[in-house]
Amino acid sequence: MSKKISQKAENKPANNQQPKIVEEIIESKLTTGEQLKMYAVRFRLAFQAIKNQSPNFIVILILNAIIQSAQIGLAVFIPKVFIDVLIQQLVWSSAFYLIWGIVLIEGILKLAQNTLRRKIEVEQVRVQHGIEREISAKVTRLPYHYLEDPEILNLKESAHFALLNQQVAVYIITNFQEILRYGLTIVLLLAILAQLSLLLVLFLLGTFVIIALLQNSLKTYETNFFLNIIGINRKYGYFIEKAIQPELQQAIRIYNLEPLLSTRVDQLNLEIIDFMQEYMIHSGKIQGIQAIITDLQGVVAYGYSAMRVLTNIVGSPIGIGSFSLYAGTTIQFSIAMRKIFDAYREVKQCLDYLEPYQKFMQLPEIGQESEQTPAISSTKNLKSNRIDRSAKRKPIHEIIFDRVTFTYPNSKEPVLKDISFTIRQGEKISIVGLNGAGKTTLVKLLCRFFEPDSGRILINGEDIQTLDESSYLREVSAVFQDFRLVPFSIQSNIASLPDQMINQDQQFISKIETIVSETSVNEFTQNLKNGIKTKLNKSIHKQGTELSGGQSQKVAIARALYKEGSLVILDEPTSALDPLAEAEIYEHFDTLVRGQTALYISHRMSSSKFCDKVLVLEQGEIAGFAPHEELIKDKNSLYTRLFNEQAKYYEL
Amino acid sequence: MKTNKNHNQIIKAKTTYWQMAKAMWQKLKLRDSGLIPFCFVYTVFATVYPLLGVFLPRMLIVQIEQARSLVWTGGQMTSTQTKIFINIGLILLIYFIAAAILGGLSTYISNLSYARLSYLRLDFISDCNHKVMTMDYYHYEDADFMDHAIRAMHATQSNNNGVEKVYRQVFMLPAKLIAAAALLVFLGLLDLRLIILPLLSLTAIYYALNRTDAFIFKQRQEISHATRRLYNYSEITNDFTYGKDIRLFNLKTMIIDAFNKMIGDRIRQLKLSSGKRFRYNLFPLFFQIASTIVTLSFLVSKALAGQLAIATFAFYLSSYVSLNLIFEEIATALNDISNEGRYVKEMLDFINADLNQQSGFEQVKISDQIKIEFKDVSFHYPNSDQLVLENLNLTLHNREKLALVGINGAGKSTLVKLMTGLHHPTSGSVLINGQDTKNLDPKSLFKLFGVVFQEEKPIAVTVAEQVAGSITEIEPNRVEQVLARAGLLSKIEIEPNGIETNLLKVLDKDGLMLSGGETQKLMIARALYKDPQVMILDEPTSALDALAETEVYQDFSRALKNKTGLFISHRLASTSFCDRIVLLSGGSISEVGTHQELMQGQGEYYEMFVIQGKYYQEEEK
Repeated sequence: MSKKISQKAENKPANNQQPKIVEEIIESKLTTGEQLKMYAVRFRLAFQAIKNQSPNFIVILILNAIIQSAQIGLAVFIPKVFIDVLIQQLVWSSAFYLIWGIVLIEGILKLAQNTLRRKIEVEQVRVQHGIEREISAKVTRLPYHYLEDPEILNLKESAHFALLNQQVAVYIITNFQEILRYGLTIVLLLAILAQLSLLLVLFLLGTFVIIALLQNSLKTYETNFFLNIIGINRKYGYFIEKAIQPELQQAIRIYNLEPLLSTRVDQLNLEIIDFMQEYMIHSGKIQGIQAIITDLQGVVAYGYSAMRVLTNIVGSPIGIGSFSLYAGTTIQFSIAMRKIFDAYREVKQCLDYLEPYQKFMQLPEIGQESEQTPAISSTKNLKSNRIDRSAKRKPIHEIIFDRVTFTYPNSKEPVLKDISFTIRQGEKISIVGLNGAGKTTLVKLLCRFFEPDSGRILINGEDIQTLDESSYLREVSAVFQDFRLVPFSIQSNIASLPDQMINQDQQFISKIETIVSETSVNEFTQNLKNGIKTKLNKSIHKQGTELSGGQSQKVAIARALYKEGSLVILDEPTSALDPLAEAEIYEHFDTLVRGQTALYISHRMSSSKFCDKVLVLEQGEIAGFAPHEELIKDKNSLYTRLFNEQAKYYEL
Repeated sequence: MKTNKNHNQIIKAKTTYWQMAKAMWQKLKLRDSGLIPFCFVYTVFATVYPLLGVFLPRMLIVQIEQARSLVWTGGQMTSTQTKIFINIGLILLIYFIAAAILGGLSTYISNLSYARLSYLRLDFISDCNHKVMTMDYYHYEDADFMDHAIRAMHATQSNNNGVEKVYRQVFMLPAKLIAAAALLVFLGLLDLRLIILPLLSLTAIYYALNRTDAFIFKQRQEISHATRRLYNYSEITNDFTYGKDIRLFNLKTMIIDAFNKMIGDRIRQLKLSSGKRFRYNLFPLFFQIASTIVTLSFLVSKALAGQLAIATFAFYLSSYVSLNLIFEEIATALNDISNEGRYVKEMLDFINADLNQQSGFEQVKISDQIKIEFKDVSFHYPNSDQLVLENLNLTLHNREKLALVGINGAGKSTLVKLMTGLHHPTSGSVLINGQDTKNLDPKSLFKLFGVVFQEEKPIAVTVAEQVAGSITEIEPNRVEQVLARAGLLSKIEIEPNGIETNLLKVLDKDGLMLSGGETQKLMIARALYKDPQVMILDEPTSALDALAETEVYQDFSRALKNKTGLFISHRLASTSFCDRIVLLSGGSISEVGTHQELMQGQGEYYEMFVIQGKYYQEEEK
């Protein structure tokens, strides 16, 4: 796999940036015992992951290995059987039966192998995708703050990269099978050889050690090699991706960037090949030496077996049939030995690559208690989930920030410094400030996505951290500036429910209809062939559609309103809307939020006018918290400056 | 009109296997002709090596058989015994030396060629990318075409498929063929009938492999579609920016359920092809069994009849076994060449397609004056019938600054694409100093324009490279000059590497990160560096705060000084520095004039202005 892995990694044309892997996986400082233990843990993890995805797969693999080693066993016996027949001058008819018997066994083995292969081909892919889905499911179960932690992102990318681009799962399966196959074969062949001579067995085991040493030196070299090539790989992947990235195509033409990108890629091509060449020369030498050792083993076995035929000095004489058998067995033995070493080295390497996956899957999750059986989900429990939720709704009627300070993970400078304010039920608050003042951070804290460094956020008098996460989030309807829609139908996005559930219930349908017209989503959906049942994302759904930025934003607003949370958060919800559509949202703001408590973040200063109060943030601190009319009185304040800056363009 | 052309007609499946061979050969000669002698040496070594293994047992058994009746039990050896021992020793020694040299070296050589063969693939990747970056832009906005193009690149995906696999198999094929031929001769000399069944099973293996792969190739569109769908769901969760919405709207179950369904679809597809493979494989299985029965029966009966010595029997038996193994490899190799060749051919179809059909060859006539006219221009995008622009007439005069306003989807960006020649009108014409853009060489046309795109992000190169748009031709003084004019030099100067500082942190952890407003300045600097006759500025819609926004306006107006310019505005208020404002609506111009004129007209512009400024204006009253 060494070759395959390295090259695969390099050259996928549309590769994503390639994360660091090897940097994290050098555990050379561990003792052998610890290393073995680590590999055992990882092997169990891989084994378990495979078993979870396809319970019978391991059995199939074992069966396959047994059949394959039986085939090798049969192959070494065939010459002996027939040479014995010839020497004993058997009658033709019994020889004839023998031939049929052998061929029949061979045929059955091959047929069984084909049958198993058919299964393996499918199960392998099932496991591969299944593990990818496990990672996906895991991401959805992580506490949100992990998702903004660059280290976690890197970890996830590494885990994903290993499984997706380097197909570690598939390689583990393949090599696991090889180890089984050749392991069984070696046992079988050793049993045969032990009949002949223990001395020969000892000799073979001795060469085993030499090969092990060679392989080990290769392994050490390989690890260093991958460490060095990873940076080049990442660059290569980056520039290759840029060349076909849609966002860049116009600039590539207008500014003639093709030579720049091509030159970079061509330079990297040469660098990669130089690296690979060096590696291949090294591994070529080692493999060449191994090939020579294999020949040596063959020669020794032939020589020794010949001696056994020709003289009784080295042991009891054997026949020519046995001579063929033992010589053939030795050759198969050395092949098996080489293969098992290769497979072992590759499994070990795969297990190294599995480290990020292991770490990632071990991250703690939200609400561990109800999430014990992930991934396998059904609409049924989704439904019961929903019903449960609506049963224990606890509307938010008061929000208090009490001296809240917050710093992002991996950052030194606090984003919010000692913030205190109170918001009561039904108030509409506009939050304004320069880019980077902490506006979005504030609402993220309110969504319980992060925990403050110090201070408390009280919801209805209770500390937000002590609330049940899911029932609290049930009360929050939010549109973030980087909101995302999912590739389901428009109605499904709005109701956050699968189509089949919506279609079964008139209540859902009529509620969606109301919202759709309130948010004027219907203005564009009525032109679509399937209306609000049209699915999003053309590359997934052939009949689907792509919405413009403004249209998506409307759907996102509709989704938040459908949820009917008692706290509405709108973070730059109109940035992609044109002036008219924006004005429409402003006009209907009161109706849209239906008297719920609302937080509104916008760079359009005009939005402050229809809110009850404005919270001005300046470098993480509150620079004002009052209605617009009051704030504007202070001519020198940040707020007045910001407002006038925009107002000057609208003087009539 | 060519714009509406189906992509299937643009990329024609016309490459033949012969042309593919020629293209691959030319690439080899161009990039690494040293591989040819490599292949020759490899072939010699790798042909002889397996044959040694077939001859060795024969020679040994011949010796042993002579000695069978005279087992040496110690003491004085007879001369025959001595001779046999010496012979065996010599045979083994010669075998070892030959095998060590041939086996060791052929392994080493095949390793040496490995990376060099990979390089050829990388070079094809570069060819594909070159094609994507230089083809007429409008192809890029044709989703079906791009689907096709991306599929064409499948042949360069890994070292174990497509073009590299073909190279590898071709590299190793001669050795296999010669070895197989030698074995065929041995067996054929004994009895011609012996080689019929092996040849038939070779055909059957090839047939089974080829049919299965042809089935998969036929399915490739569905397969890539299914895989893409599957990965889309995986990407949703793996893209952490979905995290907030997934948690807030409890979308987890919905997504994972959909993911499961996609896996199910893919598995069903796979079961089809693996079922096919299983059934096709029954043919070779049948022929192999028949062939083994016939061969063994023949050899055993002949040997029993005393017509074959044991050593010869053993020789033919191992020849037969080796032949079967080599035949399997040959069938696989041939199939790989023809099957992966299908994908390579698709790639070559793409690389060789004429994707610049729309471009003319005329050079733009250089002049200090410039005038751009839109005459009755109508336009719709490829694969769409909806007109984005309809009978549009507009003239941009020399040194004029024109503002383009209108709601989303009014056709503002489309107008820019038509002006710069990225697209051509469906009907009507765009004239640059009287020359129709349709007849102009795009490269010469692009030289006229400096465009600051709405939200373009820099790439991870140095500041100087980004601004100059080049690696090789950079004038550092001018880079600094334009950075200063764009108001970004002070930020760059304080970096230890100055304009040699790398942008972004993706490739360099000490790279420079710029804010939204600074990125705009960088892009303005790039446009200035180009010193174009026409400047086009597309106002960013991203959330810039009021102060940053004003700064961008100021930068824009500075950049437009003494230039002919087009300014696309999303907020009406920012157009004051322009000579004329054009309001686009529904694909045509609804109002033209200065701000004052349009306001006095109390038309659509006025209405939009009032609505947008509503909350600000109340303040004034």
